[in-house]
Order: sequence, then structure tokens, then C-alpha cells
Amino acid sequence: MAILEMKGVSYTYDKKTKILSDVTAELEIGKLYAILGPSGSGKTTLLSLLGGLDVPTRGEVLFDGEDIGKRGLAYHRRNHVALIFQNYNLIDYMTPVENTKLTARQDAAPILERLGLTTAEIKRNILKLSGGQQQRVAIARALASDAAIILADEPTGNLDEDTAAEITTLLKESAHQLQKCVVVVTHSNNVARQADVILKLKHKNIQITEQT
Amino acid sequence: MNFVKRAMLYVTRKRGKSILLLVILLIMSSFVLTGLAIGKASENTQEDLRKALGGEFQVNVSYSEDNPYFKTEPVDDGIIMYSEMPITQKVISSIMNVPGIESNDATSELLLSVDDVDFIPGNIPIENAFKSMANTMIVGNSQNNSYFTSGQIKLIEGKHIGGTDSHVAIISKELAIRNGLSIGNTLTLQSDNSVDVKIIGLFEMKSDDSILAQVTSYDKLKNKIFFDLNTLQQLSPDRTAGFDTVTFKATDPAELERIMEQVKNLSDIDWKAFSLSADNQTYMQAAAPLEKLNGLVVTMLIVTVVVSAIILSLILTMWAKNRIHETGVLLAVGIGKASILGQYFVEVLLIAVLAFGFSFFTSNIIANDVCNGLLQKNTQNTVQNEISSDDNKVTAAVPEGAGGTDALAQTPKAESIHVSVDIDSLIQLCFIGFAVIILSVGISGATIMRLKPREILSKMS
Repeated sequence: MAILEMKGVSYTYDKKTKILSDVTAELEIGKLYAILGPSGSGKTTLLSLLGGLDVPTRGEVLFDGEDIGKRGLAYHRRNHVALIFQNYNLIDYMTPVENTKLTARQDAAPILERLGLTTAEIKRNILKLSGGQQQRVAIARALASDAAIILADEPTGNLDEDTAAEITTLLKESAHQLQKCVVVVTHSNNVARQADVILKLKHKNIQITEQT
Repeated sequence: MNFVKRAMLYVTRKRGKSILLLVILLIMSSFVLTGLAIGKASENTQEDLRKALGGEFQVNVSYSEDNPYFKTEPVDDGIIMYSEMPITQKVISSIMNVPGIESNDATSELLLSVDDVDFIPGNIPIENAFKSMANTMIVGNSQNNSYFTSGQIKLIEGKHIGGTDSHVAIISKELAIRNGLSIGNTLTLQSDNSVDVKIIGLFEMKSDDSILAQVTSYDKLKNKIFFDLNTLQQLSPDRTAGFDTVTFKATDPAELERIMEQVKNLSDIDWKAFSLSADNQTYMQAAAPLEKLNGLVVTMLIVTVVVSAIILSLILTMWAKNRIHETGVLLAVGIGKASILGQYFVEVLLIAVLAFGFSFFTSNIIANDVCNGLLQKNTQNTVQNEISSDDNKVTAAVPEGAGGTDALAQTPKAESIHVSVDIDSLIQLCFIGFAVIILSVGISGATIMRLKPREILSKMS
């Protein structure tokens, strides 16, 4: 059953530049989705609309059958989605465990440890962690929020190949084992290969491909 | 994690910014608290001055042609002037009923012959006829008489003449010794009738007459005889007994105008016979530096509060722009704008509470010096203004006293104030401070809070 739906979604930037046109798609729990497309094709815009960071010019985004604007976008962001960014977007005056607690509805430390951070690392200054470790904290923050949907914008963009592979595995496990709907915007073929469904942006619309 | 916890983390982890903000808020709050404390101390001192000096107004018998009761009578070597309508006890009682009047000093002076008294000689020669005379003073209540209240003379034996006393007198100790008189003895006063009065009190002068002073025997203070109104009535039974001058003292000089207006409107007094004049100059002159100080303090407070709000808004706006990344992240993870603004407010508040607490001590240290520095400058300016406007006037700090030069030295002076910062001022500071903080955080937050989360995230990238 679809947890997140887009129905005839269009988005026009500055009232004249059309980015998306009449996009319709359904996203399900337990699947990893990869949004692919060239730069400027509207991948991040699509993610922003799904995450309630922006509103479509036309059409609607539904969570569990209800328009996300009905209860307010902040409510949608707080309760339904968790965001992971390419540049991690962690709060610099908080430790990893405090960053995770920002939205946590469950104990943060075990999640961080499960993602490979040591007890000492989770209390360290966030800026003293490596890129991979910071992205793990961002994922932990997403998982700790208990949100059904995880939206990740180029989560491996700043990471080396091995770390990127580990992060991709974590996202895939989140979808399959933790029953999340994980949507990843990526340029990486490695990430795309791990996805269950590819959403390819083409001519301001999307082409959906299921992978086996 | 709630906004208070986030705020505490920010304040404790961003120590440099916190200390800088603490210093800024401490300076601002010290200025505001000092201003509030000086303002309060100045008001208290004005209140004390008002109580100490009082405001006075006088009702005098009018010796002008406008007074229909005014009479002149020829005598051997000139004329005597009098009014058939003196200030009677009834007039005084009527005025005393006006709210805000504390006391009165009713007097008349009369040159009278006194039998068998050897007066202390003066240093101006006089005719023999005057040698047995003294310039007497009829009083309603000698305790309120300006000679006594100013400290020029002091009752050293016996008691004062009260409103209900009859045929009693107070004389100087020196005159009593010279004539072998003591309390309980009588004097015989001569006018239309001869009246015996009993000595009930003896006074002593604070200091002897200057040897340079030129004075007749009947004008010498040591020869003065104070006696009551009933005696006067008996001395001249054909005339209405009353006083020439009554000085009324107001409880609060600031009320003087209102009291006088009410007195003027008393319908049972025939104002054609009397004149009414105010004397709150003493208070006005003494309080002038304090009033200037008050004005200065109000200006200082307004400027400090406005400048504080501007500086704080600018600093917080500058910092808020540096925190655009953090704001975007918080919005993106679903934290509401109110919670984010709440965090920013609590951050400043936490530091402000510390700053306000410290300012209690810093203000106590600086307030006295600042206040007395300003007051002395104001006093000097006032004195200079007084001198330049009227060379004959006594300066603000040394006003004229009713009882002569001795009273000048005794008049309270507003040359220094003790300022102490109290809890009331601190509470006022908290209200002002919190208003400034709410305003500043609101202004600084508005620039970011207008943006959509995606716009902030775009700015971030």
C-alpha cells in the first residue's frame, strides 16, 4: 500500500520556469527508491515536495491518503519524514547523541552504536568526526525520529567509495528491515543499483522502473 | 529535545558568544539599574525635603486703601495704622480646615509699656518714654513661632503658650534674672487697659547679639515678651482681637497651589481685609538640582533602553544570519518556528538573568558616584543660574529661613544622596530588560522566520 503519493504534481520556479509537470507516483513502505536524473532536472525539488519543504504549484502530495498540507507542512516534517542531506546538516554545538535526540522518539545511543559509532564518539564534538561518521549520525537522527519516510539528498555525495557503500547498505537495511520508505536522490550508479525502484526524471516527469 | 534544552546547550557550548553577550547585557543593565536607583533615590530625597522644609503661605492684614477696614488715627508725633478686621481665631480655624495644612504660626507685634521692668539697654539712644517699652509679640501658639522653630531662641524653662492659654507670657531668662523674675511671677502690660500676665516660660537666645548690631532696647530680642490673644483683647477691649500675620505650613509643598486656591475660595473669609502670599521658594530652590537630576535620569533611561534595543537587535540579527544553517536544519527536521524563536529567546534570557544579577552589584558600586557627580554638577549650575539671575538671592543649597541667618545653616541641603539599588529597581530592570530582549529577538528572528525551509536550505547550499 502506498504511504506517499504524488498526484498530478507540477512545480514552477519563479512563476515561469517549469521544473516538474504533472508527476504522479506512489511510494511504498519497505522499499528503497532512487531518484535519478541530470543536474537541474528537478530531483531535489521533487524531494523537497515529498518532504514538505515546499509546496507544489499544482497537484497534491498525500501521506497515507491525506494531503500533507492539511495538518501543516511542519507537522508532516515532524511526524512523517526524516531528511538526510549531502552535507549532513548537523548542529555544530551538539554532540552526535544530542543531534540524534533532536527528533528522537526513542533512545538515541543504541541507534548510533548500531550504526558503528563508539560510546566515546557519540559524545564527541560533531565537527571532530569524519564525513562518514557524520553521515551515520544524520542517518541515526532520521531513524530515531521513527518517521515512516526517509528522504536522502545525495547522502553519499561527499563520501569515499567504501563509506558510500556502507551508507547505502544502511539505507537499504532501513527500508527492508526497519520497514521505512527510503527515497534517495543520487548521481551514483552504485546507489541506484541497490534501489528497489528507480524514479528517473525525464522531460519534467518521472519514469518508474522496478528492479528485481 | 525541547527548546530550553537546546538553548542551554547553545549557551554553554558557544562560550565566546555567551560571554560577549553577558558583557553587553551587563553594561546595559548596569546603566538601566543605576538610572532607576538614582531616580528612586532622588524621589525619596525630594520627599524628605518636602517633609523637612514644607511649603508655607501667609495671610496678612492688608494695610492698603483697598481694605475697607483699614484705619489711620493721628497721634502726637504721627499716625497709627490699623485694621478693624484682624485675622481672628475663626478665620484661622476656617483655613486650618482645608486639607493639607499642618500647622500655623499666628503673630502680631505691639509696642507696649510694661510696669516695673528694667529692660536690657540697646546701643541706640531712645527717649525716656520708650525705655519702659518692649516690642511684644502676640502668639497663637509659641511652639510654632518662627523664633522658636528656627532655633534663634529656645525655651529653657516652663512651657509654651498654647491656643487656650490666657494672661500668660514668656520672657528671656536674662530679662528675668535682671528683674528678679521667675516662672509664676507676673508682669503688668499697659495699653488701653492694664493687664497682668503670668510668666509661664523662659527662653534663651542661641547666640548673643552682634556687638556691631545697632538696636534699640525695645527691639532687643532679649527684651521681647510673648503673650496670648486673650490678653490682647483685654488690653484693647474696643478692638477686635486678632493677628496681623498668620503663616500656614503645608504638609507637602507640591500641594501648595491647590491649598491656596481652596483657601482663596473660602466664602466665610472677607478677602478684602487680607492678602494671601505663597512661600515655597525654599523648597523649590533646594529641590531644583534634584528635579534636574530626575529629568537627566529619565533621559538617560530612555536613551539607554533605546540604544540597548538597537545594539542588541543588531548583534542578534548578525548572529541570526550566521545561524541560518542551524535554523534551516531545525525547520527541516520538523521543529516549529515558534520553538526556534523560543530557543533564541531563552538563550538571551539565560544570559540576561546572569547579567541582571551581576548588575545588582555593579550598579551598587557605581550608582553613588554617578548620582552625586551629576547632582553636584546640577547644584553648581543651579547656584550659578541663581547668582546670575539675582545677585541678592541666596543659592539653591542655602535657602532663606524664616527665622533669620541661623535658620539658613539648618535648612536641609540636597548636596548628596545615598543611592542603593533595591529589589524593586531590580524587578523594574527585569521588566524593561525582558521587553528589550523580546523586541530584539523578534526583530532578529523575523528576517529568518519569513523564509520557507527550502529557501533557507537553498541559502545553506
